[in-house]
Amino acid sequence: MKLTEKTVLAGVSDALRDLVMPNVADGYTREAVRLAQQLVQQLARGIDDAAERRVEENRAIRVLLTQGAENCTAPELAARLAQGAASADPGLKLSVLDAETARLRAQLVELQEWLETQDSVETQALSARIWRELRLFEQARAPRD
Amino acid sequence: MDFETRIAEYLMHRNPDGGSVTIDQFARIHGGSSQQTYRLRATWNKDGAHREQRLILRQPPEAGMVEADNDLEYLVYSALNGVAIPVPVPHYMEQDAKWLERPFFIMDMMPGKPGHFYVPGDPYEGQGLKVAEAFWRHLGDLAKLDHRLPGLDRLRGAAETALHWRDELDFWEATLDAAEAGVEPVVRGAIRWLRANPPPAPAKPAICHGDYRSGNFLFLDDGSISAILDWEMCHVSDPLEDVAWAINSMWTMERHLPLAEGLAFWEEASGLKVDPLALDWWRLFTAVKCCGLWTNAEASFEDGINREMSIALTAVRATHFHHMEILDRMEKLGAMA
Repeated sequence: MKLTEKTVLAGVSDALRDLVMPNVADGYTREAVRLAQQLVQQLARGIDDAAERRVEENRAIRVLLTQGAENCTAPELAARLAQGAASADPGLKLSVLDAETARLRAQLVELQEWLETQDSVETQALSARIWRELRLFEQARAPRD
Repeated sequence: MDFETRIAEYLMHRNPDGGSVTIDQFARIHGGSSQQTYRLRATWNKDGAHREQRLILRQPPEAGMVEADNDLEYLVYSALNGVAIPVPVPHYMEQDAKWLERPFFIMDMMPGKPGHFYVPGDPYEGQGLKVAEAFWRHLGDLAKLDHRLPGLDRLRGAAETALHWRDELDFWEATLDAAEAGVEPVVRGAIRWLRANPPPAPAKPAICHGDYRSGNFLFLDDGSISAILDWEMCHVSDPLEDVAWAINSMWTMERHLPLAEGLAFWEEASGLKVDPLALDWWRLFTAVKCCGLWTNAEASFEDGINREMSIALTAVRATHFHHMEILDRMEKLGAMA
């Protein structure tokens, strides 16, 4: 049996709630402990799939960039989008994945800005699809209660 | 020298004829995430009589959610004191860091309890209806005031006449630009839509509290409101900005009073009408502003210059909440394609 990060964090959260908080007399400090307990609990619930979620979001953004590159009639932007679409995550550390997400999202915003200047059925459909995907990303990032 | 003794020395410095001051019942309390807040009792003898006063001391942290001029809240309390809106009586604004290392101000501790929106159960102990009516009437009274009150000419937007929406959007977009680790497409999409679809002109410019919501006032047992607090984000804008903020789904007073009834109290007190189109614009803006606040909070914690647990938890939970709200509002407005 291996002790996992998830279990350790859940145990710390329980200890803050059951052992520490009841024994703190000062109101301000007790409230800080209560909030810290909630934070640790959130981390415990989200740690197992933290990398998977980021990898999945980056993959989905690259699909959108591919479609953007195919639709975009501005050559320089289309080339940048195609380059982003063909990229790969440079590592699996959360900080590395987050940096890659930030880079891809910046390109996605560029694509959205361009789509908003267009009025064809195809560009409007892609714009709507991006918004649907953004909702899915946000749902995947929801704090775990 | 401990903090209490330094405060006592400061009060003696400000009241050289008041005799020796003693501080007790000193405690740090939760008074908003953008100011460190302490309560205390000061006692002294004057003309042979024992005197005491319960006070609140507010001091900006090194960084937090709101980076306001450190005397702005004190200026607002001074300007509004005795002018239709219940606020604490302000006493001293001190900019000299020699006393407590950073600027601070001291005001009366007002009676009453904060009714936090996040507590389970009824935060207003059975008086929700009366509290909500008072909440809307006070906001209407604020909207009715002349925004050119003496002492408030420094407020953001004070010199503007019509384009408050643009000033506020610029301000919060710049906040995001400075604090965001990575651009957030949901928020940026909302900003582009807000900029491309300006709201109707305001009925009048008004003093906006900037954070007028459940949790930022004190209520009494009879359901009245004894003090409206936390004015660090006060500015001049369309009065509907505060209305939209007050009904954000994270803390809305609709739990205690239906929106139409609340707005009717506001309209009666302010003498203004709610324009539904403008209100929709400000409701989306509210969600964007929230994201600006939470992003700033997140950055201050990540940078290690703020270690408030409430800041970290807000960054984790509230950011997601308001991203979802933007998505819902954008969809309702037909703004996604």
